[in-house]
Amino acid sequence: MRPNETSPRPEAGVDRREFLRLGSALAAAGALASAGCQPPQEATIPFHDMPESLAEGIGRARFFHTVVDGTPVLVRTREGRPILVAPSPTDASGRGLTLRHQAALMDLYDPDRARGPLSVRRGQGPTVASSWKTVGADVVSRLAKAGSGAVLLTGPVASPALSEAIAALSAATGLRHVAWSPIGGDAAAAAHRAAFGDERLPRPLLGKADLILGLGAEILDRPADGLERDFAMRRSPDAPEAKMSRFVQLEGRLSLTGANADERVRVRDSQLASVAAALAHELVVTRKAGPLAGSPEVAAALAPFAPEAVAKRASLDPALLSRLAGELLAARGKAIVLAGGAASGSASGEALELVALLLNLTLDAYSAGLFDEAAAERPAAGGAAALAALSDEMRAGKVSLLLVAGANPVYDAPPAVRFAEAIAKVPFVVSLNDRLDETSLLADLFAPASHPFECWSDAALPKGLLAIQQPVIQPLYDTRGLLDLLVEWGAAAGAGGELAAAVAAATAALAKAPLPASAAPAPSPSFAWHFLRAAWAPRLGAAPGSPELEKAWNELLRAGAFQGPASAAPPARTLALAALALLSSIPEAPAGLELQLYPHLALHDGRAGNNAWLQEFPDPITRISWGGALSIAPRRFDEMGLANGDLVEVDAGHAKLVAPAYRHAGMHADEVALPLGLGRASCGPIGAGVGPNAFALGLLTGGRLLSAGLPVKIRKFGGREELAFAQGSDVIDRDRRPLVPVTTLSAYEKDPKSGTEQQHGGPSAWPEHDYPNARWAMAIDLSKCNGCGKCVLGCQAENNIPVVGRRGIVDGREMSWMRIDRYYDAPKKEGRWDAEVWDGPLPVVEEPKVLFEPMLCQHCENAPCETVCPFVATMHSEDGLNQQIYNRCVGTRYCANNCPFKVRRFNFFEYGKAQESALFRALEPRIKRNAELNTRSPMQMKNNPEVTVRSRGVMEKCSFCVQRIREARAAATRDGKEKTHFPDGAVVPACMEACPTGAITFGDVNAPGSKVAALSAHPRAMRLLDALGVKPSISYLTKVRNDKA
Amino acid sequence: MSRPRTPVRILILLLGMVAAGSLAYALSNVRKGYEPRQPILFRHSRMAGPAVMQTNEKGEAVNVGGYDIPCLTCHTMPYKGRHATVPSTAVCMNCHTAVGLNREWVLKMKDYWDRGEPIPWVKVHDLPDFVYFDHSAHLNAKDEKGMPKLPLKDAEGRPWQICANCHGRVEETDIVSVTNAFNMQWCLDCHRKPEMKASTDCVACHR
Repeated sequence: MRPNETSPRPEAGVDRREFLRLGSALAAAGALASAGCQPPQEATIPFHDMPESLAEGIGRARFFHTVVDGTPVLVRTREGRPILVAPSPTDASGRGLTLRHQAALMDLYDPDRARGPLSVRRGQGPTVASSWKTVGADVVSRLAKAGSGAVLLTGPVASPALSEAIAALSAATGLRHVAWSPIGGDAAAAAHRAAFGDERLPRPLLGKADLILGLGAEILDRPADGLERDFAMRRSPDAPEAKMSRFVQLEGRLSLTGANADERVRVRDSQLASVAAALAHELVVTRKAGPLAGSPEVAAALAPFAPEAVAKRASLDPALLSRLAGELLAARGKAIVLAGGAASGSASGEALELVALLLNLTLDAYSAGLFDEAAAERPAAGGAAALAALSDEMRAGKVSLLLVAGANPVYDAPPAVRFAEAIAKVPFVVSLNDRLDETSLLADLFAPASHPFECWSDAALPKGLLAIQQPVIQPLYDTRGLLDLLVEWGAAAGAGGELAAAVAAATAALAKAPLPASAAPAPSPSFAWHFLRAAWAPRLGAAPGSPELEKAWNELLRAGAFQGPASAAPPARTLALAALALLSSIPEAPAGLELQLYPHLALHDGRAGNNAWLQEFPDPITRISWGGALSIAPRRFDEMGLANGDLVEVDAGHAKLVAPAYRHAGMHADEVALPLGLGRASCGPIGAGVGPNAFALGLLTGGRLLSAGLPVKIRKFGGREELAFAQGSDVIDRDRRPLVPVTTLSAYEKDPKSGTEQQHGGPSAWPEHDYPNARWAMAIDLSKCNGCGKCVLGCQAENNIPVVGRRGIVDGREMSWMRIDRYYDAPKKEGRWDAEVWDGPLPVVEEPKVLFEPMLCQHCENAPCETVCPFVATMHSEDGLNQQIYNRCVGTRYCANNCPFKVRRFNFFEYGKAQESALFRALEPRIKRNAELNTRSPMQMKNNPEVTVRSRGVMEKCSFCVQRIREARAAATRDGKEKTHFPDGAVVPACMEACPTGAITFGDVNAPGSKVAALSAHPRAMRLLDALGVKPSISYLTKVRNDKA
Repeated sequence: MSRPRTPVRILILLLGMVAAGSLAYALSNVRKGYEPRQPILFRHSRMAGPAVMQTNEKGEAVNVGGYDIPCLTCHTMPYKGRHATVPSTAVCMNCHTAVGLNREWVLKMKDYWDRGEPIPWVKVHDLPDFVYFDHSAHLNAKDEKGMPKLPLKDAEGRPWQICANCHGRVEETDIVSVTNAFNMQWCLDCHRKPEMKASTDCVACHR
């Protein structure tokens, strides 16, 4: 004790005076702190003059029908900018959306698109900004001078207006038009032309088929034909109208289509034609079935393909061919044979297509109505021969002016075409592509064309339907629509008629001063708009400039499509015997390995290489994102002692390529495969250099582009490239882990609950939630789900989900709320599988049974995440949702730890906002990449304003599209409707909207008679992980395999 | 040891400041009383307020009050969607192309119109971005009898427009200010009333 103290002080403590000193300091500090806290001052800026069309409500979404890449879509816009692309519910054309259509939004807001015309000067020196006036004048004068030395190289043209404009331009100046697409259906067209004299392919009506035989068919990999819907229609085991269909696929590489087959047989691409011919031999020659049985020419053509010999060469069991033939025969009149996948790009591709035709004729598929003749249309032509001829001409100096619009042959043409060399010999090249891509960099002038969302055009659809492509946003940059440019330049170059009239009308409209928000919208200054109106006026049956045309035009835009006259009658389906010559030209299969080049499921031909959504989308089978790998059969892969990612060199003789290797289940032992559409050299920083450019391996012979059955040698190259595998690519032993409800048709018919067996949990300690009113639930029918992943992209678009990049995927920091888990089903084994099953043993992966399971937040009743959040940021709502409240979340991550489904996503890097601090940017190099992928202007325009953009340190997960649920509730209040229950279709989450097959059903499970209630109570329904007692709100209906041969 | 070491004191000081500051902030009310200055000194009392008749020097009856214009005449959106909006300049010009053109602030407003620039009003009732408020759900909400859930009379029984439930009697003010707490506690005070049958789910407002 010190002097003057009366009581001992606590050791190392605080005495009264000290406490008071500190305390007053605290109080003063606290007061200062609170006084300084004010919310930020925000402006609220109304319209200067509000357009009348917004009178029914600001902040409402507006929907527009338009066309993207030949498919009608419905675009949801907010405040004048598109935020979501969805299938058009009124579309009667039968087309389907692909992932590229949904991701077209990301292309629109791509910051690496060109901002305006440039003088490129072929890469010698920096680009110089130019103007449309200069560019236009230059091009028109050169067109006039060049005459027939001018060539317009475009992608496939499906727009009647564009074709007309090109034709008018050609007529005026002598310009020639060449169309090129690296991925085209030349083989099918050739076979049909030879057999029936007509190139148009009738559309398969898969809804009518009891048995589908796929010869390398890729109807699910390339869903633009809309066959996914028809296929899924017959996959339900308990549909009262029709029994479940059976799909048998013969293919070399396990594709998405093959993964959905009931039975799959591995056959090399180069031998597919022979194997199919062996089937035809069995049916026509041996069993004398079908209308071709009596034809000696057909018998002679099929004679070399005796099943035993063919089976021996293809290492197949001859009994298999015999059984398949028997199945086909039994299903005659209700069976259909499909080809048309990557295998049709082989040297025997045309023969393969012809055999498919022969089989269809034998099975009476045409006469029994399994093909929709009214929907027959020419497949998109590749045009390799035309491109090669053009390249030759260019090299010979015969082309004085080259205009490139929507084609990128420097990137994707086969090396034999030597396009880069050829383009150097053309005196003047103008590129109308949308960015400085590989071809544009070698041009003189660059005149960027607008994105389809920014300009007018039209499209011809199947069944005589026609649709208008209307812009949904003003051009973001100084670009012009392709049709606008061709009309303008055509008129200036002397093409009279409609082009000149359109330009005159548009110029007159431009001259009018804009009126302030007057009742009638000002006439459009777009040349394409006037041209289209004039072209469509006779179709719509109205005089140009009349109010009837105005009315009909608005009705057309509102409805989306127009029924034009039916196309010309299809040919009689009788075989022209000369076509049989194709069968005699089937080359021998390569002695060693053969290579298949297939279009990447998301990126397709690679034109959207800079699209982060498509790059991040994991391939449904390989689960590889941000790149591609050389797919090698597991047996060969193991024999070569490879690991996933080891670099392997593929030598195709005419070209070599180094790519990382991947152990691709279900691959034929003698086949390897590479995806096309990767390896862009210059598309923007997002996609440049991602993956190998496999276009270099395409072989051009005899005017045909071969992309399958190419003889190759592979060898280890040394080194590794880590593959970015997304979550959810496992082998599953359903005995131990009943995570996917699967069964066979025979088992299902004996017991409808077959496949849903799992261990059940005991009674729960938690009180049950009480749902007096609406309760949201979902049912996913795994028999209908084909693993396409469009739900994933739909969710990404709707919920402002950021892109994490390759590094993010490798680190396991995926952000997509929904994923499609792909499992290989380990067959039952004596004494069960142990841990070795995770390595994908050969008995499981050589001929795998593939299971797809969309996995998203299950909104569990007894959610393990809800009980562990220390800040109560996630809890249950009154209508059954597991809510995630971002502003409460501190980022403990305990909830993600506890989630047994691993569907929670943590925001590590603040993807939504650029990091301003230079210090942090230097400390963490990933921040720069994340900014490149997510925050560059104008990428933020794609965000949905109804959904929070989450910041760093906050957990997120599927919310059952709560913004749509709240909007439905608000709408019900506005309309004075009941909110106790909601009818089917009141709330459609983004995944359900995007799903082409109707696999996802969502709704109020408490509403009497709702679809989701019926499906949840169905014997096929299974809720996952019942052993844990979490009680999900999502029911999975069994995937039923049709094993009834 | 008689006094705690300096680092310990600093730590206690910092922790205490944080605690006191948070408590002070939580107990404070950052919004009530907020009365920002607007670019145009528009007086609601002149538009929406009750008429006040006076006799001027010449002996004429002159209205120095307002014109009793209801809120929805100009603020057209609240019943229709999430956002209630400040009216566009065109709405003002509906009348002011003809009247009031000798008034200072009318001319300033007209200047914005002539320039084609929208008026940059300062947002008075500003909720944080993580609150998704839906005006239409509140205004259209009706009880079983079909009467609006938000009463059309104040606590003393004086009739008022439905907007005044939250925004106060704006027609009696000159400058718009925040007259209620506008924090979550205040929202819950109403949402928790059993007769309101309003949702207290988090996702109702915080998506």
